[in-house]
Amino acid sequence: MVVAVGETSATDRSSAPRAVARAGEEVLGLQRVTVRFGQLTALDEVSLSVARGCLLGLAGQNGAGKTTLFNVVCGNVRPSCGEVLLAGRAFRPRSYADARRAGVFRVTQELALFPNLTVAENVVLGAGGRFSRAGVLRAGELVAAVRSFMEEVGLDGIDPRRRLDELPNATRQVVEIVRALFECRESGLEAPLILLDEPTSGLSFAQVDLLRSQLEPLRARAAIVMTSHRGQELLDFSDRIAVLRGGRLVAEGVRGDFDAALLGELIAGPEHAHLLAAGRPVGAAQERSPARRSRPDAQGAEGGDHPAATPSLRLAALRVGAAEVSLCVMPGERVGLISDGDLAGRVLRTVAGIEPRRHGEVWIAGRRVSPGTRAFVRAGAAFVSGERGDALMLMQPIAWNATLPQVAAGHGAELVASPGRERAWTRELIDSHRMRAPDPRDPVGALSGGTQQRLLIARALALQPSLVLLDRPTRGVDIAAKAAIYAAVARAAGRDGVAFLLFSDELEEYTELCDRIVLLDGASGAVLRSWSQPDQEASAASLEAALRSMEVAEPRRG
Amino acid sequence: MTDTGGALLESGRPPSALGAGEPLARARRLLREHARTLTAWLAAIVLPVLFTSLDGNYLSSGNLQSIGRQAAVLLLIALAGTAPILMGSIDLSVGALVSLTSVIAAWGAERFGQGAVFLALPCGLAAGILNGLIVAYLRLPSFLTTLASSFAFAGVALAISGGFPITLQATATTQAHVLDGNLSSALPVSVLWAVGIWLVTIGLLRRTVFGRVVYAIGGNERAAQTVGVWVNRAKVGAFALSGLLCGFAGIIVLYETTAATADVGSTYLLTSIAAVVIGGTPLSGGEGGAGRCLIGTLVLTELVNGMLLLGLGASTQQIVEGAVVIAAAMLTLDRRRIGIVK
Repeated sequence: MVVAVGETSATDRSSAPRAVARAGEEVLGLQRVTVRFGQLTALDEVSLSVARGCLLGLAGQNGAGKTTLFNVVCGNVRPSCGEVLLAGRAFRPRSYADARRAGVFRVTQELALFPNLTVAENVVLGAGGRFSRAGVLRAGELVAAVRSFMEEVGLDGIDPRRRLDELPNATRQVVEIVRALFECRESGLEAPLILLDEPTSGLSFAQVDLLRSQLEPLRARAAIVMTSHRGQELLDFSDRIAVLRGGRLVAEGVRGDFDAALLGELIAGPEHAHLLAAGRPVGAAQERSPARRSRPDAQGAEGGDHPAATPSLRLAALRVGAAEVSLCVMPGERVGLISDGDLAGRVLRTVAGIEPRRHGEVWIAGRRVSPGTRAFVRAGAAFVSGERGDALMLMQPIAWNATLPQVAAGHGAELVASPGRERAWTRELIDSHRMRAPDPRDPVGALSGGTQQRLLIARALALQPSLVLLDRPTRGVDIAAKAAIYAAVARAAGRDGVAFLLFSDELEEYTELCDRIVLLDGASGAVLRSWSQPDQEASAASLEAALRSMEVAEPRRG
Repeated sequence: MTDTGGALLESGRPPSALGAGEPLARARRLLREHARTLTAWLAAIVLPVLFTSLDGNYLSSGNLQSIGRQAAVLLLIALAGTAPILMGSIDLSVGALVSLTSVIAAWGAERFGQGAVFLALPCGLAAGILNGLIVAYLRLPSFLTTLASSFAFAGVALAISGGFPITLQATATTQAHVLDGNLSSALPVSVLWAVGIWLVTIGLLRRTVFGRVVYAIGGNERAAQTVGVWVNRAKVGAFALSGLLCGFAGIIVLYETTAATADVGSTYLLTSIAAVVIGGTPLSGGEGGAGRCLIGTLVLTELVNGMLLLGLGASTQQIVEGAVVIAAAMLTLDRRRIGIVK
């Protein structure tokens, strides 16, 4: 089954190879690694090499094999064929604990850190014994040691005495990397292998920049493999890039070999290449123009002073933190909200009643809405979040999840009373959105992230709402699901006149999805700029330029 | 298929069922849904066989009646605990509340005549609502709230009874017959009451919006809140239901024992939670349901009754009961999925 590699494989088994890798030496090597689950091939003869000082960007859709590859290296999944080499020796970890001892660290968004402890405590957690005498922790010594280590690796900007939950998310991931480096040094390993699992998902631009700058001094000390859904980020972060598609390695090379367009094409594959045409998913592109034509007057409706139509959403001096936001969204309009800091996202959550609202008015379809999620939903609006774990009951049946908004809106009694009717209703909803889903009785957690997200959109639109708030609606979904979501939004806006308000962490999403993009000042909430599409074509680049100029003008806090 | 397959891969679970046909998928679902109750069903069948082989009197009509009467009370109290457990909460005041309502029923009967035993129902309901209001609106953990309120309820029961049993007089009335007597020579009326209430509770939790919201809170409270479900009202409702069912149980207990004491319900607390868990409703919430209480109740009652019949001492009984609860929790809880245990 396994191709034997020299004499090491026979003797080494899984014990930690404590070899020392010098700069430029190979830390991780994969030799024709294949992983099969039943009939499905998750990784197909993938060969890769990562050297010390190298950051390899691993690109690919959901299901392309990125996670499986990480699982193999971490000892969670054993390869069916092929060999993994760590520092030149055969490496067959039986568990993640095994892999860690050998110097493999995986950093995910769900960090393995303690938010209630300080940076220093988090960093030495694995090596705490060194800083205690007779079981009593010597705090001063601990802080000093971590501080000197931080200085050594070039991260003296992070105060080791601060509690972790006071730090921005980007820095928390950096702290976990620092801990990995610290543990390595404690155990005499010089170059760890660090696997970064989607480190930028959910981070703002400022935070992504922060992560990149804090990652910079650490790069020489480790071999890093990082995944991301965003091609541009891989281009920004990586020294080398490898693209997986359907379990196969379809491209590998130095960063200079790739540009954003090529990378996008490689990730999507020939069968999806048409979705990338003109840089926007086909559904949105097709639906945009008829939607525009049906509302020739939408142009003048920006300030809410349009006499004919009632705005679907009107915010009057809505207080969010220190900012005050006023805004109008007309029926059928798709408005994108951008700001520096986290204001735009908080505006959406405040309107939806998830964050408390104390000052300012929210009007939905001409009626004033009191605070709270119940009032928001009863006003005929819906909130769709990309945080699927917060929006779905993952262990409960698909049908229960699909009908929950109906229950909340008071239309659910008949559906709940008859399981057969509820299943049929769900089946119809799934089919009308052309989703691939098994039996409605199956738990929703068995669906892919993309299908879960489409279900969230579908169940919101099934309420026939006048307004839908989209909070990072395509977070972590593949390009096909993304295109389907954009198409569903465009259809609902064009055909049914549903108004949409979008917040996203991908600028391309604004240009692909929105008729109008509004840039808010993160501190005051004032509208700084507004783009109308397609007359005043906003590109992701111009949005980013505007956003970055704001961040420069007003240095970020924290 | 590719879509789903990808997701399973990404989550790191071996998707062995990929490509499985529709009938196979259905079989797997059935097995998954019923795997946890299977052990309990087996125990419910094996225990009588075992005890009969050890003592021929086990299956006598007298003993079966006594099992039925014991099970009826336990079933009602287990049902009371179910709705809060489905929400991921817990009601630790059921035992004390059964004592309180039982004492109130006896006191009412003594003062105002037999009809006043039904005072237990509004009192139980009010006590449950109080629990619910504290949990939902003061946002205190149900564990703490109901543990504390159980002390208060026990105190009230003690105050009303004055520390002495209140005996139920004149059991020959027709009403006593409706609540206590035997329908035929073998079937106690209390069993009918319990089964009827059991069926109603199943319907309430499975087929109504209220029940669905209870399950949704257990499944993911934040998700329920975000889509605008009336989470707080459902919480009060679930504890109110618990209180009402304790009221019923209090009345039945009173007629079983013909005298109410201030601690008559206290032994039922752990046993009723055990019945829920043995039935296959995990304490983590969102899964299981009222239907499963019946089997858990049967297993426990058969076990206790059998040990009694064999003349095992109270100490042995308690040890066995405790061990059974832990074993049941091990079998019914999917601990891999829960991940972190506190």
